[in-house]
Amino acid sequence: MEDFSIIKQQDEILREIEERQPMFTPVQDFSSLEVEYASNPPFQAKIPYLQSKYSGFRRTRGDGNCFYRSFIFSLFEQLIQNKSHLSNPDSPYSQIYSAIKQKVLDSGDILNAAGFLPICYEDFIDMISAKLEMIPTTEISQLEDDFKDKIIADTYVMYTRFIVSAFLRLHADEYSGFVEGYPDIVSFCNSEVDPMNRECEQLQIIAMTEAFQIKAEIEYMDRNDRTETTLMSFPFEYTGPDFKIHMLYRPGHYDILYPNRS
Amino acid sequence: MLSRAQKRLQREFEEMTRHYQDTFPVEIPENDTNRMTWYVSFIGAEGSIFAGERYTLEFRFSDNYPIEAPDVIFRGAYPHHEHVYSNGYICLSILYDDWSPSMKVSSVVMSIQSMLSSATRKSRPANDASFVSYAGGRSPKTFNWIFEDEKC
Repeated sequence: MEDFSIIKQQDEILREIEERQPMFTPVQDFSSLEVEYASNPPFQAKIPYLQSKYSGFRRTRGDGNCFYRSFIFSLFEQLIQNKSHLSNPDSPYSQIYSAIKQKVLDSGDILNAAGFLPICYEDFIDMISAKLEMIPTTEISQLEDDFKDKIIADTYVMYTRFIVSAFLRLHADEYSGFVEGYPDIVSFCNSEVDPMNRECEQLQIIAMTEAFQIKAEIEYMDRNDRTETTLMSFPFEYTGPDFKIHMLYRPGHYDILYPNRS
Repeated sequence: MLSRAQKRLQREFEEMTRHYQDTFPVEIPENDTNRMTWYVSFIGAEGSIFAGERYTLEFRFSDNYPIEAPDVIFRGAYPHHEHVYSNGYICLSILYDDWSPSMKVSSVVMSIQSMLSSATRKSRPANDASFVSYAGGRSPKTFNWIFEDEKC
């Protein structure tokens, strides 16, 4: 049995993706999807429906972190865009902002309870905390700059991975039935959540939205013969403020959607 | 100014000297002003076939540590273990695919110590010669290691 084969192909593929795709593109309309799916009728057929609901989307780098990165970026982006409402306690943005700040403050105790070591997670909590505090004086362009810097962007992503992992570890009784190919939640998290660049399955999406108590609406675009994408909403039961993260799913990949202003 | 990786490593270094001074002593070459290379030694666990044997691991950290795994290899004498090559390279999933920023230097050393402890006989990787000549000076992270379980 050989322990090694050749130079790692996945790494080369990842490096290629990193060179070719930015962490996020600017917000764009759906015309590039029309080109991409010109010879793919089932996908092509759903684009007009997306156009009717959304003004555009931001493409995310397809490096296995796309859901985590899109989620945290969109959360920050919406709060920054609506920073004028953050001091109004009746605004859902202000409510989400307060709740998230509190959650990040509490996350050290949660990560500790889940078995993570302070020396390993403190830097991540500190950075997210500082970024949250800066929201009232931050511009979208500064957020975009953060996600052009690999170390900062990876820190945002890793913070969300810690939170998802801790949530699953602390709710092992409820979720251990949903991990396939692993004996338990701990080994699932060790291999599928904690390392960077591992893709997100529905279980991680449920954990993310439950742990943050933030609603995510995902438009699923697939090969079926309908002309509409399929909308799924997480967490399954949500009664919090009127605030949503919108995403587009295409097989193996998530991007951020921007709804039409009503 | 210290980078984020250096600040994190400084805290780990303090923790290592406080809690693991006797078990995992750390040495940082004096000429390495960035302190991004560490030598950490440990002794094979009691009751294991490597009991009492002292080994040294070389850690090389990048500016993106702990997001990116350190390069970890044996320096000098290496244990005769089926997943340790004679150039010091180690086939252990947490050093590569399963690395996570939730780990730290001391947990890596413990994992390697425990990999040695679970061996029942001293042996060498079957393909040692071909691997070592193929590896040249490349980082251990550039190979496509095949893990049969957590430890190959």
